[in-house]
Amino acid sequence: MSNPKITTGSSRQLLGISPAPHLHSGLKTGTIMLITSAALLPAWFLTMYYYGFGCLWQFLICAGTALVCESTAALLRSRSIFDNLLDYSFLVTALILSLTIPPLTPWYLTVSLTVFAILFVKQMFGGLGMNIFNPAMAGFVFLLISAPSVVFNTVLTPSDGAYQTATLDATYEIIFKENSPLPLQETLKELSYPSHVDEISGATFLESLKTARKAGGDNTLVHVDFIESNYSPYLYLALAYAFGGLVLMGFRIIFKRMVLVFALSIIVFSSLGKLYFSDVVMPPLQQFLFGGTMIAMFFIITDPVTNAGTAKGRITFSILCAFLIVLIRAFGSYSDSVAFAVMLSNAAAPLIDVLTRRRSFGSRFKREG
Amino acid sequence: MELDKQRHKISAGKIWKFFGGLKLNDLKNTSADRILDLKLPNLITLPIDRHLGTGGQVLVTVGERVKRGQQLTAPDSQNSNLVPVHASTSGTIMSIAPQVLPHPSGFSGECISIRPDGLDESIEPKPLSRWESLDPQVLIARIREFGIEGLGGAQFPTAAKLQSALSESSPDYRLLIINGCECEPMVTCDDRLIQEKTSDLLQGIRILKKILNPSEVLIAIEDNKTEAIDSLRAAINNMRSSTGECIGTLRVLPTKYPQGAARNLIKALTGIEVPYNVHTSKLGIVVQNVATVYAIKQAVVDGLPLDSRVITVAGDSLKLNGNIRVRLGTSVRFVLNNFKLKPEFHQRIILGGPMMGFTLPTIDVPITKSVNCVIAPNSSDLPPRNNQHNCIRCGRCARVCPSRLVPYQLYALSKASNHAKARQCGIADCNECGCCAFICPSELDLTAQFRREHAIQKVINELEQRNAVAKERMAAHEARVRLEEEKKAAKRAAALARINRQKSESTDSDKQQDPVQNPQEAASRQVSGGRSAQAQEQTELKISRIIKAKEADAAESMAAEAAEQPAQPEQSTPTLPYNLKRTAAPKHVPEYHKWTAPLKHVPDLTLVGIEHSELKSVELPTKTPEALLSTRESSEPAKPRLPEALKKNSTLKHKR
Ligand code: SF4
Ligand code: SF4
Repeated sequence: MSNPKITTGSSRQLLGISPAPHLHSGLKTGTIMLITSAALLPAWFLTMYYYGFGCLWQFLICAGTALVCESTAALLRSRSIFDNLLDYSFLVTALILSLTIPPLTPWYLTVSLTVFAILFVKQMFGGLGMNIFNPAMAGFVFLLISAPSVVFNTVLTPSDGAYQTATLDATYEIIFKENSPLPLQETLKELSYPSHVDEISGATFLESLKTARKAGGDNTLVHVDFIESNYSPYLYLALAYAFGGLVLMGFRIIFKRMVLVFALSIIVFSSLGKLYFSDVVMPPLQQFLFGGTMIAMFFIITDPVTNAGTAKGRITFSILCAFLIVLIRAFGSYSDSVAFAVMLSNAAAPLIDVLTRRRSFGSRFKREG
Repeated sequence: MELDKQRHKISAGKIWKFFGGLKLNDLKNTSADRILDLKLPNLITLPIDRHLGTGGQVLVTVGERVKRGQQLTAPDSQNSNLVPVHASTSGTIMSIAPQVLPHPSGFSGECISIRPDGLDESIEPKPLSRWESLDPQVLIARIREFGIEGLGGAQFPTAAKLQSALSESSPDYRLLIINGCECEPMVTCDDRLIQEKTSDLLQGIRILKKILNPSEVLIAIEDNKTEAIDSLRAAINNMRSSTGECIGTLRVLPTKYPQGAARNLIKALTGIEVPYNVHTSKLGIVVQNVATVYAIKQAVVDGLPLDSRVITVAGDSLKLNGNIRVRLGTSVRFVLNNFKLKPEFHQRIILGGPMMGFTLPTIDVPITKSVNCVIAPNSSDLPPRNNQHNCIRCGRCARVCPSRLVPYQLYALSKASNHAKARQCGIADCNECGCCAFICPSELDLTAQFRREHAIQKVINELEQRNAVAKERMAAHEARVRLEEEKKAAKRAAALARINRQKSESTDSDKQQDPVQNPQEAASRQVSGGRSAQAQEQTELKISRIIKAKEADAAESMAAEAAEQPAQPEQSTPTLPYNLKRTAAPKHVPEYHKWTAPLKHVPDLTLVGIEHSELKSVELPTKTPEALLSTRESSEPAKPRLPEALKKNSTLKHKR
């Protein structure tokens, strides 16, 4: 050979070989997920306070099932289980699920929706990072579609001191022993609206709005004052989510502009809607405080995986999502629309990615100077 | 109008922002260390491959004694991109043979080794006196002859850059940018050079100004080098007050990685994004590193060729850190020994900065002009990377990429061997700055993958070029064949027409004199009619002549064809037979990629860690017949290699 080559094989034993760059920012996926989980905790505790301990059980079921599912998936794909779990994404999914599904959902439904979320929505597409749909939202939609009556019967009305009524024992009986959730539901409702129970037909405000809308009535039936005690839980929960969101922003984990644009679009779309379809569209403040808007704004649409890629894409994504939330809330047949809106936007994300492709370096280049 | 505005903004000192980039921790703890001279090593190794070109010559022989500054090679005179190599100390030529080069894969190349005699005798320096009055071309020639190349890392020949700026850009607006950014963490050699050699630098800038006659000179420096800024500012003011000459304007830029990359720097200073496929010098923008400017000054004013450079030696595995001036060709091992290396297990030795440098597979490699830093980190200093996770599409990489790419997308495409798509998405614009891999929370080796992808893209380009050439030749050949066939057909038709005409003519004449129509019958009557027999003979002769001519024609064309066929391999590269059209299609055509020719030409890829299977989607159009031909062309030459390889394998197995 005229040109002998030195192979790296022999020398690799002596010197370390690693690709450039040799520096790293230090922010890792696992850390991101852990911080996200921590940021959810205030809202989670508040939920427990206002909805009782159902939430805790749901979280335990979700997390346990997710753990098993992730491990199974890791085994099936012959990856290291440890590595697979260390990204902690299952934790975030479990937390969000426990916050979105009705607190009294029977355990078998929770298990199956978690299995669906983790195995089918996430792992079947290739695991973390490859899933098209947000697993938590997909799991929730799974529940909504497959067991609407259960959802209707197990949602609770937030009320001060619900943790005293919906105790660990009481919720355990309902979730695991299949006791009827209805008495508890009624109690909480009475607790929440001591004066005008009859005005509210559903367990949640959105539910009753929907019913009213379907009946053709005006949905601005109640004047909602969030400082007043029976609606204040919504306000405090929203504040808790916002606090978590601010923490995430502080750690630069979520993309600020996206959140801002989302909030702005909700305001714009709902005000516009209020102008033209005043009987079906809720005013901006109610849009924010009822249902899952706040958690969506800070924790769900900001999920990097199921989002568009670039900054421009993300902003487009959040506008689309806000629009869908307002639209489906006004004209859809389910009580809340966040999950559907998020999933629809998820589906549109690849398209957004294509449409918002960034210009290449120097493409604006002209011969000058 | 817009142009003027832009220029006005530039001279007004506006500083633009370039997209992406990172604010990194400086880690520049050697910026207070004076540049020291490293003692002479006991071996100097000077790589010469890239300085020779095809027609270059080595001017020395083994055993010859050389002095410092003596020219060792004469580059190919056709190629103005090449510069000669000079001895960096006095000594004896030990060998002219392949040695390991500073390359991430430990490639080797032709090198001249010198054993220094310790006297360090140098040849007489040849300063250009009164260079101010010389022609720019003379100065450029000097810069080339004295071996000056970009010392910032790219090692682009300075003379070629200046020449192209002179000849290809309009003289009415030229911009000279002196790059003192040094954006890489840990590296401080340029910083120190500015601090210590300020006046020499200004001299160098004056030389460059003399050559280029720029409308504007910008000296860019990042705001974390306060001392360098101070000394530069003082020197510029000094010069202005003493000679009245304004050497240029100092631009203090906010620190941001990778500002030192030419295109990002141009963007920051001028707001112009120069695409990656356009040379900046063609626009009249010349970016020169401060170390290069210093070398230019030395070459022109002091008459010393480029034979040493300043490097930073840093890292926690070394007892000492600092900046040193080393002779080119000193081995990394010698440098590290002098800085008291205490190696840890699997010690990494990084050549270049921590962001773009590469780890060396062996430390017995020479320091070349492109090396600005040697780092020997330990695992707490620059922690090694952990496991890679899945990409979570967080988009951080896209936000920091200064080339406006979407790295996670490119990564996925490249991993999936979708090279055509990767090219579409702009892999060529990636300058391997490492920002994306730095920020990636999943710790993906994005930049490493892009490096690999670049290598693959290079192979694909070569392949495509070859295919294009082959196709062209094939088309030319087909056109020629067609033309000849047409000619033949025309001749044949003409001949036939002539025969028919003559036939009818002769029969006509026969008819006139003889009622018999059949020429054979006429021949049988030869005896009876002398005149008609004569006519008959004539026609027969004519016919036979025509037939003979036709036969000769056919033979000629066949001969031509025959001559053509052996001639083809001569015209083409021997690996590509062009008469494939006539051979039966090989049965394995759909799988041609398994044994394609490129593999033969890039055995090196394995060293970079490229699997041959990654080349499988080297896409060749398969629809058109020409394309089919070209695929066959590329599949054909590899065919005979298959059994060989198999044989080898089987013998190996037997041995075991
Ligand atoms: S930074 Fe890493 S994890 Fe985030 S999108 Fe880019 S490649 Fe994926
Ligand atoms: S390495 Fe390439 S893709 Fe990554 S940030 Fe730098 S230029 Fe962009």
